[in-house]
Amino acid sequence: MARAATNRIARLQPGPRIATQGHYGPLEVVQVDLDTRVAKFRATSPEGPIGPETSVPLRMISPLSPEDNQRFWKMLADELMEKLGEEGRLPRFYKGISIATGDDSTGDPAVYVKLFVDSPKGAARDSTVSRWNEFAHLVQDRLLQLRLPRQPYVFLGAA
Amino acid sequence: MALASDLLEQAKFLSLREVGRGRPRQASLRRAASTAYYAVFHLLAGEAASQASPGSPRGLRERVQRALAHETMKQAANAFQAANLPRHVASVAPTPVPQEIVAIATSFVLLQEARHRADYDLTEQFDRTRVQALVNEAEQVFRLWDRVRDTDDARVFLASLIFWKLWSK
Repeated sequence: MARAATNRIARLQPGPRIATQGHYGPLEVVQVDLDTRVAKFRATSPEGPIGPETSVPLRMISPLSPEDNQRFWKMLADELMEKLGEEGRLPRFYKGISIATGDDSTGDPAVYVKLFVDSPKGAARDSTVSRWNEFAHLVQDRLLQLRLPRQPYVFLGAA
Repeated sequence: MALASDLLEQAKFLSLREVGRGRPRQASLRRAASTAYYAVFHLLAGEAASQASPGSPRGLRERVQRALAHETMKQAANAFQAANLPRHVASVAPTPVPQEIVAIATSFVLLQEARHRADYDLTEQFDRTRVQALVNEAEQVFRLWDRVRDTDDARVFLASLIFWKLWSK
């Protein structure tokens, strides 16, 4: 229950605007659930979301604009990080995340996830780099498990 | 596979240049990222060509290797990383796809995209953290490949890297 509350409180700004089959008018995602791979959305108005929440599989969601796409993926990534934190799988070297969406080098839809890690000024030891990569693989695997039509690329960067 | 392992060594060398001299040069970091991809590309392309072609006549295997296409390899790797093989491939590949092959495919796709950005996208700054991680990724592919190279799954993966587009006809 506490998790769901956090999910909402963290999103005081408007959620991504979306379209989904069988629903009309302006819609806004208010919550995502990575376990069930479902998003909840509501109709939106200038005053904020209105009306009842409706659930839809994540893969049925089409963000309306590139900005909405980016916000949708940021929402998914934030939720994933929150979950990994609860599972005790968020390493201490992890410092933050950035998300960018676009097309990759072969023209396929892509999402670029950059994980910022606490790194030394010079070169890091191989064992440290391996631990960074293990975490990056974990994030990549979890994003791939969502089976969304956007290829995730998880890179690392210095915090 | 001397070329592949030499490229990997060079990628590592470049990723560690200019340590202790302030910020490393973008040229070093970008070439390291690009070379890490080509190390993996030549490892897999060489293995695929060896599997598909005899060593005689001289030069034939190299011609086969030259026929490998980055985009086709990426498409095949994408399917393996999602462990989502079309029926005509799954019919010869025992399921599930081993974790090592999934990891190799995932790294291949990631390294190819990083290579493209390193070589062409000047809007993006590369830092040593990112590049060391990419080189480490390539090293891991070499280690994983050693573990699976003599398996049926690896043989199907290699054939897929060459024939993916033709198979889907």
